Amino acid sequence: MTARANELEAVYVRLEKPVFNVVYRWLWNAEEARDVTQEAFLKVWQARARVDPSTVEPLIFRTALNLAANRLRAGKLWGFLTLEPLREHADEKAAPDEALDVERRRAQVRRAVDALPEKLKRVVVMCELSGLSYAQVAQALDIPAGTVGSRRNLALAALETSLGPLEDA
Amino acid sequence: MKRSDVFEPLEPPPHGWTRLKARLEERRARRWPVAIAAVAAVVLALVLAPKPRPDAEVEAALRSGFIVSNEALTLKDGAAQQLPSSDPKVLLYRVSVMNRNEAPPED
Repeated sequence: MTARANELEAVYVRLEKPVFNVVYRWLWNAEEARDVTQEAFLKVWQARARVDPSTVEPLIFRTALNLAANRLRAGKLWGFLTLEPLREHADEKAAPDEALDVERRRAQVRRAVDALPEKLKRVVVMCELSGLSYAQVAQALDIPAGTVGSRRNLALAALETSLGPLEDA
Repeated sequence: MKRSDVFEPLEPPPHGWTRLKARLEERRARRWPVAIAAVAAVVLALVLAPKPRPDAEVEAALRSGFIVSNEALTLKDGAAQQLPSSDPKVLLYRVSVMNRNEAPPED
């Protein structure tokens, strides 16, 4: 394996989970989210000659978000995208009542996140799940750093309206 | 509800890197036939491209009314023979091919 391929592996291992989690909040389907995550890495890998290594992380997130948004639009248009049953992520060890509660809560979260305006959703999902700094989120979304903070606050306020007060811990 | 419940990190499906590596290999393998097909197409285009025919050049010269006066031509023992032409401005000659071993005609 070449040195560049080793670099790709290192970046993939580091970013797979956060990118997957961000994309999952668009598609709500683990297989689709995994495919889009990988597609984003492949696209950035193909353009590696023109990519500044210091901006690779925001670039991968930006690519993944755009791919996810495109796939969601296409899925809505052609009807191929199916929402994964929430049961798949429910805790199998939990008691049935508890599992049902978890499932209900996740459905509520999904509805609340999907109800956010696209701009707010991008910011809050990136801030909460990407592990990037505000500056990097701003770079990934091509918006000023100050806008990241204000949009995040607006998004959290909207989520609190739907879900009730959100505790930090 | 806790904020961490809303943005609960999920585990991606397993074997992600193995899958990505396989996709990379697949793309690499797909690139060769495409490159070979592109080169073959260029070669074929060069081979099949229409080339100017000598006949067409002669015809074009005649059509453009290329006029050669009688004085400009040296006729030697039937080496050139005037042919009938429907256009008086166009003179047609049949010129015999000289053998390379033959000595050039002296003036």
